[in-house]
Amino acid sequence: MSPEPTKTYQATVFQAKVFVTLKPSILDPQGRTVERALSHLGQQASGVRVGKLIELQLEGERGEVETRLQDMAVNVLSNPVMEDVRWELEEAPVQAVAGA
Amino acid sequence: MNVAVIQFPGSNCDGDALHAARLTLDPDAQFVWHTDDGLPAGTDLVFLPGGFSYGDHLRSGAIAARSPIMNAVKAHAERGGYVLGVCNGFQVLTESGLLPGALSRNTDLHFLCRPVHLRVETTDTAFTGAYTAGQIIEIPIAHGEGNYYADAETVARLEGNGQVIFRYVDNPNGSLNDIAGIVSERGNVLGMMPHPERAVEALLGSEDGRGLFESLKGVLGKGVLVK
Repeated sequence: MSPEPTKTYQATVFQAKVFVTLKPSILDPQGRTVERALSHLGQQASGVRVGKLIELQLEGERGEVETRLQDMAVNVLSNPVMEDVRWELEEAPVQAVAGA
Repeated sequence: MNVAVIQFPGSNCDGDALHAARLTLDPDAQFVWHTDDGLPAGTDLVFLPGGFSYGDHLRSGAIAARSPIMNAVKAHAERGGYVLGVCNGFQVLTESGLLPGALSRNTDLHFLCRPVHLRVETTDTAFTGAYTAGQIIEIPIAHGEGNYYADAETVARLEGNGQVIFRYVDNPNGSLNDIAGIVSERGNVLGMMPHPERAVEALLGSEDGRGLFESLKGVLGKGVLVK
């Protein structure tokens, strides 16, 4: 009796980082406050802007994951009226294996 | 007139909104939960109340704007139905695309909770007919992110169309052009940071907000929908 043919596929897990920042034209009162506080501490810095980093894991084939990530980043995770958004996508060290 | 007050997790002016609506417009005004996918039949006015929906996570109003009930609210607005978004409700309206622009952090970073003076810029809307043009009214604000922003082209369009209907006399939060409240192009959707529903009884400090609800009552009494 021949062995059952085994169907396996590997879904890659990706680690995504989405960076959301206020557009340069938008005043960032939070950044300004941090900048002033730094200055009071004797640390000189200019152009301080406060943004957000959103990390997420996505599973699938790279092209499809990129499409989904772009959709999320542009339509949900950021507001195009005030914010700029960019992202990084890396294969996560751990791989999920589904099979049999 | 049938009023539906939408409740999101974290809404905290929903009770005030319902009270004001029942007092002025509809004794049977009712709450509608955010996971519902439809509004009660015959809804004339959807009231999006203030608060901190979803803890203001991600951005104020961002998650509420994407909740199931909002599809019904958008359809209601497209049909010409009235929508009033106050404070967090205004943020939900901009996040959902029903009104242009966005509300960002107050320039002084403070949460501001106090009565302010507003100028009624036009009486030619369903929300302001009971006021007089240029009238100064006292309405409380209570927000940390009420700084209205839109690109120059959008602001010029709002001003050109007379869509800015309430303006701060003394700008508390950095809003462009002292904008406190705007209506949609058709005039049926109003978003404003100040709380008219907290100013409907003299006993509680001011009844200057009453005119807004009286205006709606007048318009709906005549069976007029949108311009």
